[in-house]
Amino acid sequence: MLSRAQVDAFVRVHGSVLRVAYLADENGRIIPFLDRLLRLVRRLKGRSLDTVAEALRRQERRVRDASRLAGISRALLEWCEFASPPGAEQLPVARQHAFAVRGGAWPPVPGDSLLPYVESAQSLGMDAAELQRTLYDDRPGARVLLSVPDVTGRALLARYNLELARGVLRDAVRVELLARGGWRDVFRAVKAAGLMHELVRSGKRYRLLLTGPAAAFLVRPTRYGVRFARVLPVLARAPGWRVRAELVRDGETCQFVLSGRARAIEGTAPVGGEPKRERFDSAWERQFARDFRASSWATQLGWHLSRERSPLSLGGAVFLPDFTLRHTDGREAAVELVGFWTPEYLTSKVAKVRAAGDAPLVLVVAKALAVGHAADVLAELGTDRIVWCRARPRLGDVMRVVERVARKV
Amino acid sequence: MYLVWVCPASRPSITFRSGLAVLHGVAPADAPSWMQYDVRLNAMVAAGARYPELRAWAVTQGIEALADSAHSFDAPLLDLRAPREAQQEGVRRWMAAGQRGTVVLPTGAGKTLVALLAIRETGLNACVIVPTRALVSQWFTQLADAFGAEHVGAFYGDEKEVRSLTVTTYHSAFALLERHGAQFPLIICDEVHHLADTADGDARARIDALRIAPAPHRLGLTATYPDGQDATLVHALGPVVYRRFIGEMTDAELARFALERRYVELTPAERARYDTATDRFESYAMQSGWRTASDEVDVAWKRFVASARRTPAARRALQAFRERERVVRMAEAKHDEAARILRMFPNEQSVLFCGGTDVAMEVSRRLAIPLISASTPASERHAILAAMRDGTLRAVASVKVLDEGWDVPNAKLGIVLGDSTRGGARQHTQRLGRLLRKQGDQVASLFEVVAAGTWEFFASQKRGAGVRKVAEGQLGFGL
Repeated sequence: MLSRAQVDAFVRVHGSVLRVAYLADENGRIIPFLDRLLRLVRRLKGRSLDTVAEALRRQERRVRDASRLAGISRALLEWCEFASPPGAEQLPVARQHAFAVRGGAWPPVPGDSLLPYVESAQSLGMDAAELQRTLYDDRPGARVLLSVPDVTGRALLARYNLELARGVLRDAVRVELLARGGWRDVFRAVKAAGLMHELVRSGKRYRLLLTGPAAAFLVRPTRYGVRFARVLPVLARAPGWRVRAELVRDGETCQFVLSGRARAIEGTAPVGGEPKRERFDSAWERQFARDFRASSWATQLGWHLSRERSPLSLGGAVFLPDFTLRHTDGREAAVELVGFWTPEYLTSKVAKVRAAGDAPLVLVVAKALAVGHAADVLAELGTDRIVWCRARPRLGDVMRVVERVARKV
Repeated sequence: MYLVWVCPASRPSITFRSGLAVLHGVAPADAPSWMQYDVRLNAMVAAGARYPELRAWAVTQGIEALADSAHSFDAPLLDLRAPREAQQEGVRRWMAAGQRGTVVLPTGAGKTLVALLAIRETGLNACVIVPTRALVSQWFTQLADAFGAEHVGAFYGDEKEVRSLTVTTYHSAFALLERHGAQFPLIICDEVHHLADTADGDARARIDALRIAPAPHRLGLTATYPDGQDATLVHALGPVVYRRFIGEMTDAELARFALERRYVELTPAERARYDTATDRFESYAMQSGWRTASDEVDVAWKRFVASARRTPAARRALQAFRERERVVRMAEAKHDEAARILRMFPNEQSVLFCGGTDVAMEVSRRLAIPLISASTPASERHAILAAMRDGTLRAVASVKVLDEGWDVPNAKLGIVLGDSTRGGARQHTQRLGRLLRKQGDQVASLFEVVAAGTWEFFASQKRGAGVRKVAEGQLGFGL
């Protein structure tokens, strides 16, 4: 994450609105420069973090604004993968041994500076001078560059701008998210960040309002700002997204709004990450989507299959159904495929379905597995919203139940 | 399908969660009036610090507490020091006040032992909150010595180990107590004057950790209680329960000390680098006139640094300035002089105070002595300081961390190879203070190694001026 100094240099507050001076490739010279930085870092593979950081800093002579370069360098270095050099894990023990030897041969006299290292160096298979030189190579700055992301200067530009936006969220007290898809990862990130949320339906979509759990009771409600910033890169992988944040800076409240899309428009400042395509979780899901797209009749009847995983708010809990089927007349129904389960999974799912009440939700269940205890548990739900199937879901069976339970939301 | 949170329990229950005291399954009208409805949890909530009140209310209503178990700590106290009368009385008064409140004792009167006694008397898991990382290290060491290292953890920076007794900083306390608050029925706050009403900015927010912590038992420690500015403090920890003044304590004597400054020459190559960098920096300063502006020195300096972000010429001047500092910091002759001083006192334990991590690492490599910096994990610091105390190690290099808040009574030789404050008298006095714990008739010696003919000469004069005041009545030769 960028430092406050690297962010604040590009932030202006006009009235109650905060604006960020994102970096744009207006004259066509920025992206070639970023490509050049990427090439420079790729050439330094295997070198230490300190060396790579210094090489990037030296590019200051090519730029006018050192804060921009410092921010871009940081964004790039955090994107790269570094690892401890081989044998670094043995250095603390080697150090301890060498220091103890010196403690027994005190004080140091001219010519004996390598003496404490001889024994430890032998056990590590190196000479004493080398051990002395690499004694602290387990420090963070000595980690070596393993890999550099295979991206272009344009992607680095979008990443840097996203990091600027993350830095702004450091002062956020409340954040509202809108996204097209990608909800599963967003909820996971929200939970990992220790934030709480409210889900509000807004037309066909949902808005997610994020707040810090105990923010209402704190002297510094912006304490959760860094956690909001952790969610942003995940959100930025969605096909389309929007953030509206309420910030407190120097005791004043202001608003910050940011929209992102996967493809940057030429000449504007792109803000975002690499879009992530949602994969199917199971062969059933893949098959069902394929069957739907192959059939013309379902579409002719006015139905569309959505993989956006719109969250479904059910009695204080949240479902992320496998599919949402939407009709042109405004009706919709969520479809959940239950192909395989453990008893705990099934019990949890049944509890959720029960909590759903009369929400338009269709469960597609493998009949072969509905025996014994599982059959009893499923029987509790009644049969009107369950579609039984043998080898794989049959589109016609599913659509019949969808027609029955779907309603306008 | 992805489950985001589990549905709230339908039957009434209470729990501590994410810094909140939560009451489930009770209608707002039936809940205590100081709670509020939280739509996110579909439950009544209050700040975590009110959890003990909620628990007391729940008992009267026959409501169960979810995952609420006693966190007792029954390891024996291994510290064999006999508590002084003031320490015993302080703990007794604190216990009598319902195990809440602040004990005020002067510096050197043994506040840590008060905390150790409080842990033993209550028999509870404790979270110790301190202002700095250096103090984390000191408390870690003392708790480990008193109860055994296997019971003690440190939670700050990259080191996050939660154990029955966990030491953390005011900065990291919020994250620790938000997640693990229920494990610590006892909170001990060191140097609580940092929580005075006058605290500003980020310092003011330190109280947040205590607002969300569910611990019913709280002990504050300080030598300088902020009388008249303690409303926040009293609310969070309780009132002062015991106080002794410095005039009432007679056993805090200091060792006598000697100071000496030694000048070393830069090598010809270092001198050439120094002169080139100085010329480049000075010529920019002359041309731009930033130094002759009417502003205060620090304001002018800040403007210069800000201009270096945008102006290539200013940036080059700033780089030259940093290069000049580096040449002085890393001067070759300083290492030789340090080794010479160590040979002059072969029987003394010593501390080498360095001006930066780079030079401390170099000293550590050349002399094969351990290094303690801000990034040294608390457990490793504990091992190094323990080895210093038992005499296995004879010297340690340090960067800032050992300037204050540590305790190796045997170390009576200090060598200053540089400072991080360009002649700050306070840092220098604190460094001297580390050597002054009285050990029989031993005299402490503090050597300053200064690169002659460089800016460091003036910095050392500034340091010396501050220390001369302290040196009154002491040996103080050499300055």
